[in-house]
Amino acid sequence: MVVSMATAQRGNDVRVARAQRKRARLTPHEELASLLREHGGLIVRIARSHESDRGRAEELVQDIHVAIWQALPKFRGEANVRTFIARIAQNRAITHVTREARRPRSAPLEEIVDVLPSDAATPEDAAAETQARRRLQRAVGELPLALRLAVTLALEGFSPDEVATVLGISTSAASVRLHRAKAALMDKIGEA
Amino acid sequence: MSTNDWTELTRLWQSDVPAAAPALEVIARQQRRVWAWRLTWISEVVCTILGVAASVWIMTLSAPFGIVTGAGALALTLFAAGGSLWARSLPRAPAEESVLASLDAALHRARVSVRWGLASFWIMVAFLLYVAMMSFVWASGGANPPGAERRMLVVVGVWAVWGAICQAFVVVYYQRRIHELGRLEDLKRALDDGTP
Repeated sequence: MVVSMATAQRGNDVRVARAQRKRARLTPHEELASLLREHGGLIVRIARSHESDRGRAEELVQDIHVAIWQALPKFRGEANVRTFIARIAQNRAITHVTREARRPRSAPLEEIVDVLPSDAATPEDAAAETQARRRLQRAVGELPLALRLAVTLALEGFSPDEVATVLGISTSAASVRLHRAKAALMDKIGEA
Repeated sequence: MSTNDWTELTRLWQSDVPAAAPALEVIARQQRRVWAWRLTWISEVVCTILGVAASVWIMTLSAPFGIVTGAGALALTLFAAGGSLWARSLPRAPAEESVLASLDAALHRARVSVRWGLASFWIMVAFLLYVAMMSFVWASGGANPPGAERRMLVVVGVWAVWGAICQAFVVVYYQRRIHELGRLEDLKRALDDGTP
């Protein structure tokens, strides 16, 4: 057990060192572009879960890009890059939600959901998948903010530990929050 | 909810892979804004120096109430400079901080801003009262040289208009900060206990 943990730690160190070497060779613009190539979807999905208006969701995405750009020099690869990006995205989203609360909404989410190429067997299956995705995105968007923050991270595949790190709460509080968030999401999907 | 349900939802969620080009233009604009901030900072320093110099010059004039007018102008200049320094020294949580930590920092900033707005409001009230008092004193003094009353009325009028404009901005600023503080406190409550 101890040996396997030590091996995992070594593996992690090697990955971090490799990432640092790779980052050291890139210009800041290339580094940002590389990060966004890998994690751009995560950023857009988080932005859309907090903002249903097309134009404002794009503004929020740009805002997150700028924040990542500004934070990059301080990032030394000691933390998981996805966690680093998710923290920035959620922080920016909260600032956005606070600022935009008094502005009226215009375009509903349905209009901004892209119709994506799907690996579904038939066009009917693809349409059903798109419909299901829209329902899920709408249900996430309707959750209260605290639950929405937790559930978007869970849907992105973050563990309770990582959710706790991003939100700045204890792991046990994160687990409770995730449990409630998932239940609330299933209720919302059931209502739809 | 079964694990399969959740796995399917996760797959569905992540199957949406929208691409967004890096906001390089916005970043470039942001870099230019750094220069604008520096220029604003320099202009504030220059205005403070000019304000102090003008105040001292007014105090050295042998005009009636020159000392009082100069001291008032000096106090206002120093107050504005202090306010600018104070506003700039507000802590700003790094973007990569946890959500709760950055919300705490935002709350702190909003509370300080509300206090700053309130203080500015009363300072402007004091300033307008000061201008009014000066005009009454001048009007009742009778020691002014011929033609001086008209010039002083113009000076008082300009100061009063300036004060009223500043006050309008202060009131709008204060109301916005109060609303922002309310929204942040709601968010904080929601994040603390996970309820809406």
